[in-house]
Order: sequence, then C-alpha cells, then structure tokens
Amino acid sequence: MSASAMTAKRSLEPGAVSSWWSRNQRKVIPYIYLSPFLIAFLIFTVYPAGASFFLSFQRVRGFISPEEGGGVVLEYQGLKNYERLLTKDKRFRTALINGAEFAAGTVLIQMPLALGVALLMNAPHVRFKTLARLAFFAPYITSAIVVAWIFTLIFDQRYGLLNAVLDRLGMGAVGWLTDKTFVMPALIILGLWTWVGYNSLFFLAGLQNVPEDLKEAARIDGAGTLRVFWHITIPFLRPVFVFVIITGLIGSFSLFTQPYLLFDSGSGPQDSALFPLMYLFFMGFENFRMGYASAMGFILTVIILMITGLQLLLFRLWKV
Amino acid sequence: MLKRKRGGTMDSGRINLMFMNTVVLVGVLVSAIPFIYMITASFRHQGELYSLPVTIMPREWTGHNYEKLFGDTKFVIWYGNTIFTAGIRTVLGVYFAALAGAAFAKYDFRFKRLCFFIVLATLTLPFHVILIPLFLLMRDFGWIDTYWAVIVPGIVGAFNIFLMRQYIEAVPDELMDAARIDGASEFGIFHRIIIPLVRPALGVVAILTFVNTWNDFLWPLVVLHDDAKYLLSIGIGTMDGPYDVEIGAIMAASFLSTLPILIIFVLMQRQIIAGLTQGAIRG
Amino acid sequence: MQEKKLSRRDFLKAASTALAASGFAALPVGMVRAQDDEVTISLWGFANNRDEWMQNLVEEIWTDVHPNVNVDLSLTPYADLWPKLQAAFVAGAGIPDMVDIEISAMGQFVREAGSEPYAALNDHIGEQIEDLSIPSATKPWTVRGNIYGVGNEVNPVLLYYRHDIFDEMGMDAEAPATWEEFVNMLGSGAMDAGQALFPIATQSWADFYVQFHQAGGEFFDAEDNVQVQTPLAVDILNWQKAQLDSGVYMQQGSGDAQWALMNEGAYISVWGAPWYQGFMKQNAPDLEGKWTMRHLPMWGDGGYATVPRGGTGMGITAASEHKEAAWEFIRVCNLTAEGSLLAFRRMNLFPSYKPVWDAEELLRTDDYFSGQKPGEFIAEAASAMAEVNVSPYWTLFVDAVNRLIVQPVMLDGADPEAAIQEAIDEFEFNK
Repeated sequence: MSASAMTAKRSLEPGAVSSWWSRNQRKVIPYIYLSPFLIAFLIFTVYPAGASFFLSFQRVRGFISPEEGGGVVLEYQGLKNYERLLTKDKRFRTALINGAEFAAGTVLIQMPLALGVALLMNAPHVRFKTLARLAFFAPYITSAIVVAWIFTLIFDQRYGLLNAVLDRLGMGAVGWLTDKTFVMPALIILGLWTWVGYNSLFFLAGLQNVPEDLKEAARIDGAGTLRVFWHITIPFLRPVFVFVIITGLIGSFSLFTQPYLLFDSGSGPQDSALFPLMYLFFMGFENFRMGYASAMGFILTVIILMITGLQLLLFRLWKV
Repeated sequence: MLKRKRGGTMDSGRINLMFMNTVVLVGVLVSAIPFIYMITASFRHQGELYSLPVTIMPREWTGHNYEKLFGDTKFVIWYGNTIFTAGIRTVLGVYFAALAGAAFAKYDFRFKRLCFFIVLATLTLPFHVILIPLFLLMRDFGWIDTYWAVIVPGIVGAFNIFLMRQYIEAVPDELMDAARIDGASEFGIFHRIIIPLVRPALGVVAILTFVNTWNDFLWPLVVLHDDAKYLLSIGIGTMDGPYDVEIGAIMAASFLSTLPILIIFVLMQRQIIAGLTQGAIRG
Repeated sequence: MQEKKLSRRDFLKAASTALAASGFAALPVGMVRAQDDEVTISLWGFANNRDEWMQNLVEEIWTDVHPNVNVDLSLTPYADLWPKLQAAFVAGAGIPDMVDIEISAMGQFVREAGSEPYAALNDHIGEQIEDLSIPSATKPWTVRGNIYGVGNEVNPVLLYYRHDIFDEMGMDAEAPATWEEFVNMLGSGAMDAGQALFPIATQSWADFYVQFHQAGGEFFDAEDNVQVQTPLAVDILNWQKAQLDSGVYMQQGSGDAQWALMNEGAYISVWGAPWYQGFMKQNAPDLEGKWTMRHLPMWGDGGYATVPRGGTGMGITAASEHKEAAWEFIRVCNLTAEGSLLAFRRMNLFPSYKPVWDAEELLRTDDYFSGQKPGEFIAEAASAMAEVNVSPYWTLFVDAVNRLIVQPVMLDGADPEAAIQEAIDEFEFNK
C-alpha cells in the first residue's frame, strides 16, 4: 500500500522523495521496524492495562444486558481495593509468601544444580552430551499442561511413581499433593525437573565463553582449581546469573498453570499452593471481584519490577 | 617412573570420568522418566495405572486410550487447529521480533532506552490483569470465537524481541555499512544480511513461540467458544471430568502433542541451544 | 459404540474445521450458518455424560421434531466453564443460548438483583411446575423467586455396601438404623479385615456437607446468612475426624485413585447420589453384583432420611435471541418422558419429571446392585429428602469451607469451632 503510494508520489516529483528517503531512511527505519510491536503493544497491552487500571478503583456490581451495550455495573472505590489488599487480605499475603518460597527454592536449589550440571557438561571427555542436552531441554519445551498431568500421576500418594521409589528406598509414602507440608517441596521438585536442565544450558554457554588463557594464566600464577573457579569463572558468569535469577523470579511469581491443574483448579490443601496469579484469578473469576483482581495485578507488577530492579542493582555492585 | 606416575593420574582421572558419566546418565534418566511414564501410561488400561505395585512398564499393552482419543474426542481437529495457529503465530512473530530487535540493536532513535525498558517491563505484567479488557476489545473487533483473537494480540513477544536484540547486536556494523555503500536499502540489509546471520536465534524464537501457543490456556479458553475450534491445551481438559478422569487418553493426547515439538528440537538442537543461550551470556 | 459416536454431524464438523484450518479460520460460526428459517441454539456444558445424553437426544428425538433448529453443544472443562462464561457475560458478546449450570456454580452471577445474566424460566414452566419434583428440579436454581435453571435429576444420597464382604465377615449391613449403630456394629469388623467403612473427602466440603445436612444443618438460611456456627457443625466435624482417626472412614483418593481404591476393596461402603451409580458402573464394572443399596442410617434425633447431592440445571441466558427455541430444547430434555427417560438410560439419572415415575423402565432391576430396583429406592428417598438452600454466595463460602474448615480439621486436627469462625470471618471479609 505505502509502496504504491510512494511510487505515485515519486512520479509527480521525480527524485525528490527518493532522495529524501535515501537521506533519512536510517532515521525512519527503526520506527518502521518497531511499528508492528508498538502498534500491537499499544492496542493489546497498553489500552487494556489502562482499562484494567481504571477498573482497579472500582467494584463490579453485576452485568449490563447486551441490549444496553453489555459490560458491568461499576461502583467507585477510591483506593479501597489497594488498601484492603496491602493491609487486610490474609490470602494475598499467603500467596505472596508462597511465591517467595517457590522463588527461593528456584534460586537457591536450582542455580547451584544447574551450574553443577553445566560444569559436568563442560568437562572434557564426558560422554552422552548430545543425549543429555536433549533430555535436559525437553522438559522446558513441554507444555505446562502436559507437565501438570504427568506429575499428577507421579505425585499420587498411593499409586504415584515417586512414592513407589521412596518405598523402595525404605521411606514412607508422602502426600505430595494432599499434605500441606509437602506441597511446596512437590512444586519445587516439579520446577527443578522443568528448569534445571534449561538453566544449565545457559551456564554451559557461559562457561564456554570463559577465556581459556585467562584461566591458564591464573594457574601458572599458582591458583588452585577452586580459586580459578571462584575468581575467574564465576565473575565471567555474571550475566548468566543475572539472566537466570531474573527470569526465575519472574517465572516464580507468575506461576499459574502447573499448580492450578495439579490441584484440580484449587489452591492446594489449606492454600499451600496458592500463588499470586491464582488468587487474582479466583478473586476475579470465581468471586466476581474484577476490580479487586485488577488492583492485585498492579501490585504484583510493581513488586516484580522492584525485585527485578533490586537484582540488577545488586549485580551492578558486584561488577565493580 | 614417569610412565607409572602418569598411569596413576589416569586411573583417578578415569574413576572421576566414570563418576561424571554416571551422574550425567542419572540426570538424563531423571529427565526422561516422566516422559517414559507418560508414554507407557498412554498404553495402559485405566485401572492398571492406578494399581499396586507401581511399575513403569505396562503389564498389558493396549491401544484403547488412543481409540478413545480418536473416536470419542475431536483430538484430530484440535491438533490441526493448534498447528495452524502455532504456525501463523510463529512465522509472523519471528519476523516482527526480528524487526524490532534490529531496531534496538542497530539503530538510534529517540526514546530508545525507554522503549526497550517498556519491552522488558511488559514481561512483568501478568496477562490475567488485562484479560477482561482485552476480551472487550476482541468483542469490539468482532474477533470472538475466531483465530484472530488467538493469533494477533500476542504476536510480538517481549522476550523474543530481547533475544533478537542480543543476537543482532553481534552482527558486524562494517558489514552493514559496506552494504550501504553498495547502495543496499535498509530493508535489503535486514533481509540479506541480518536475517541470514541470526538464523539460530530465529530458530529459538520460532520454537519458543510454537511452544507458547501449545502452552496457551486461559486466553484461547476464553475467546474460543465452539469446541471444534479448541486448541489442544483446552481440548485435553475436556477429558477431565469431576468424576471420571480419562487419564489414559489424556496421556495419549499429551504424548502426541509433545511429539512435534520434540522432533523439531531434535532436528534443530544445536541451532536452538546456541541461539537461546547467546543472549544471556552477553547480558 | 465407537462408530456411532463418529456421526455424520461430527464428520461434517471435522471437515469444515479442516477447511477452516486451511485458511478460512477467521469466519465466525454465525456467518456460515445463518440461513432463512434455520436457527442454531448453543449450549455450553462441562460434563461428558450430559453432553453424550444431549447428543443422543438431538439425534434420536429432537431432529425429527425440529429439523430447523440446530443444537450446538460445546464442552468445556468444569472449572474453566465459569470464567469463560463470565468473560462472555461481561462483554455482552459471544454468549451461548443455554448453559448447563452446575448446582455449586449457580450463585456467582446472580448476586445483584436486576442484572442477572440468566432468563427467569417461571413463565415458560408455567403449569408444568406441578409435574416437577421441586427440590431437585427448580429449587437449587431459584434465586429471589426466579427460576434460572431446570434440573432433570432427583439426587437423594443412598448407601451402597459390598454385601459379599459383609457376608464373609458375618455382618449385617441392613441392621443398623443410625450412624452410630452403623459405625459401632460394623466398624471394628471392617478394620480387623484391613478395610475402612467409608471414604470421605478430606480436601473438600462435599462429604462434610452430606452428613451435616442430613443431621439437619444447612450452610445458608433463606436470607443468605451463613448457618454453620452451630454445635451441630462442630459435632459432625468431631464425629468425622474421630472416624477418620480410628480408620472407620478413610481419605478419599483424588481423581482416578478413588476408583482404584473402590476396586481394591479398600473401603466397603460408600454413599452417593443416583448419578454416582452411573460412575460406579463405569469405573468399577468388575464389582457388578457385589453391591447392595440401602437408605442412609439416620442421625439419632432429628435430621432427614436423606439429602440431595449435586445436580445440574439447564438455563437460558438473558442475552439469548432464541429463547423460545432454547426453552423448547430444555423442555424436551427435562419435561418429557422421552428426554428424561433417555437421561436415565444413559446416565442413571432418576428423572425429576414426576409423570414418568411409574414408568416400567425406572423400576427395573439392576444387576449391578444385585437385582435391586434402584428406582424404588430413589423414589422413596426423594419423598423424605432435605432441600438445599443455594445462595448466590455458595461458591465463595464452600471454598472457605474447603480450606479453612475441612482441610485443617480433617488433616491437621484443628479445633472445629475456631476453624468455623475463621471460615466465616474470611467469608464476611470477601462477601
């Protein structure tokens, strides 16, 4: 369309447009390149987010019939939704704590494991690397829905694979999905299975990027393997740590599909698997409190942004 | 003497290596078992799956679950729908993400940093927050119960733009300048220089987009009404009733739906992993 | 069976979707189908068995009578149906003509008077209300006097026990008249044999409610006030916890595990509504002839002979443009002998449509229950059944009951009284 318009113009003033274009195309082109994103972003994210922000100060009171244009009856609440969420709502607190616990599990257990796996895969002469890469990446590209169903079977208290293995090892059966103390461990296990291999690939790529001569130089200076690892390898992995931790944190606070399906669209025994997005969903869609759910969404966004910012700051300090 | 000494280190080295190989194999096994269990479960009788002792291999193989899946559900249709939407989303998504990535990596423009920050911030906005307003928008567009609603809103993913930017930054500026001197247009540079050089990243973005479509659950559920238009992610759920869970058929559906992604991955393994990890290393 | 299900309609649907998938996917259904007199009415449901029933009904009964009215049945997973419906209601677009409204999901959209998204069916039902068993057919879907759904099933809870095992142990499961007697006389014998008497849900409100309700308790009064802060509720919770601790009750498995436990004989009796019989036959076919049914034991003083459990009503949305056609479909499904008997044949649902109650078919003997006549039991129980007071806040409250009462009390031994108070506090906070 625009091309034909342009040729039409060009035939009117030969040379003028094309020379303007060749002079300015480097300035204009980024906007053209960005436009699909920007347009989609403005229409499908900014506008709905704005509407949702408006909604976060309202309380929804029933439907308006389609003949009258549809929509919902709103009642202005001021900051009440936010105030209630931040100061009074116990379940929201539970959801945040669960999210934080899962995030801690993700970072503290997953990262060292992933790094360990990467070190193994980076060691010379270790075999099965191709197979391992496939096996480690496969869980990540498997649909969360499929993962949830598989683990429903694996975690079953009586007929589950995991308890059968524990039984062989002489340990008792555990109510992974029914006992509130084991719900978080079960979710972390699921998380480990899904993401350790995936994260190890990032560490592996990072390790392969550490200049060999730097390590060699340190060794000649008499540094032991551990010292080399600590003073040369780890600092080189900094960007990987940043990436893995931040995506891990965002992922933890956005967890929804797996627990939602594992616990039969519920929040697990005594809310032990209640995550922020689940609570948002329950409030907005089961309790019909859509304004409240919106407010929750914005609080969550701010929290995640703050955590991310803090992380970036910490890592910037580490760089120095 | 020298020889013996070397032999000694080789021995401990060999033990070390054996240990490491074993650990890798155990890791592979742990990763693989849930998949194996899914596959064997799909060939079991419903009752056998919930019986003691728990075994990985079926005691009696059966194709019953697959018969049920193909005979009683619209599985084939859902499969086709999913491939169709995932395909379109992937092709367009990859292209648009590459364009935006190129803008961020190779050009200067006003508000560049702000724009990039916005891209990253989008990652932290939960989709659930915009669900209802977005649905209202779909209504105004007349897109409810059409694939437009599934394909268009999420067409340009923030994470994909981020990845593409990281990758395109590595394209040498000299190459682009040389092309400019030869009279190439910026579009020409994008298509003939940037795209070929960032193929691995394209592969990654492609597979991630594909997987995301496979994963997408809430949104298609809300916008697609006719069950002949369902995607696999929702279709599988219909086999889960409050009192009768067709777990065998669900496993069969899970297996068949995981297969294409795994095959794509096996075929493009090197490219995908290189492409995916590249971004993170450079930070 | 398999071949029959892949009907021509399905095939055409498949073919048209394949066509759609090849590139014309964007066309909304309405644009393709709209023709002169032809009307399509859509229904959103969640239950496979009901979906099958309606499909059969359309093929065997409906199409002959109403060839111009297509019925488009669409199945959505249970928990996902309500968010989907809510989005459609909010947008005022993409709303189906009819909804299969499960009893627990009735309330959430009808809290505010004057903005209900369902159409009141009172005028449609009219005189035929006389033909219905009110507690099962309309009461659960009635809010502020408006009937928003018609349920086709009478759902009195009955007790089913494994007479083979009781006989072997030399025990008579017919003798005990009260719960106390039942547990005292039979509990220890079962436990000696390594079996529990009953499975109960320890994650959800359902079995607590059955026993609480039967004893005369109720979650809501007519004004939507919660009624659980009573000594009776505490007594029932203590009772259930005690039986669970002693092994007379056992934890119900989740998903398919519950059937596995049944097949293994881990428990030897179970209570359930008639629709549950259908699922028993389907999931424990090998136990045919080993079950006997009886009425529930009573609670010592007061209470009811039995209580209803579950149920799904068909409703019409306020937005439907084909309310007459939709009502006609609901009528054929629920208020005719053919429709309601088909539901009995397909799903073991005992009709709430009274004129068929003496139909020979309903009084047939059932081999699964050792030649007993389920129809007789159901009809008898139905006459002495409690009613349910479904409040618009039902979903919200039972969710609190799950998490704050049943789970902590049954699994952690929390104090019932305090647990009840917490549930009520949260409920009031969120109401």
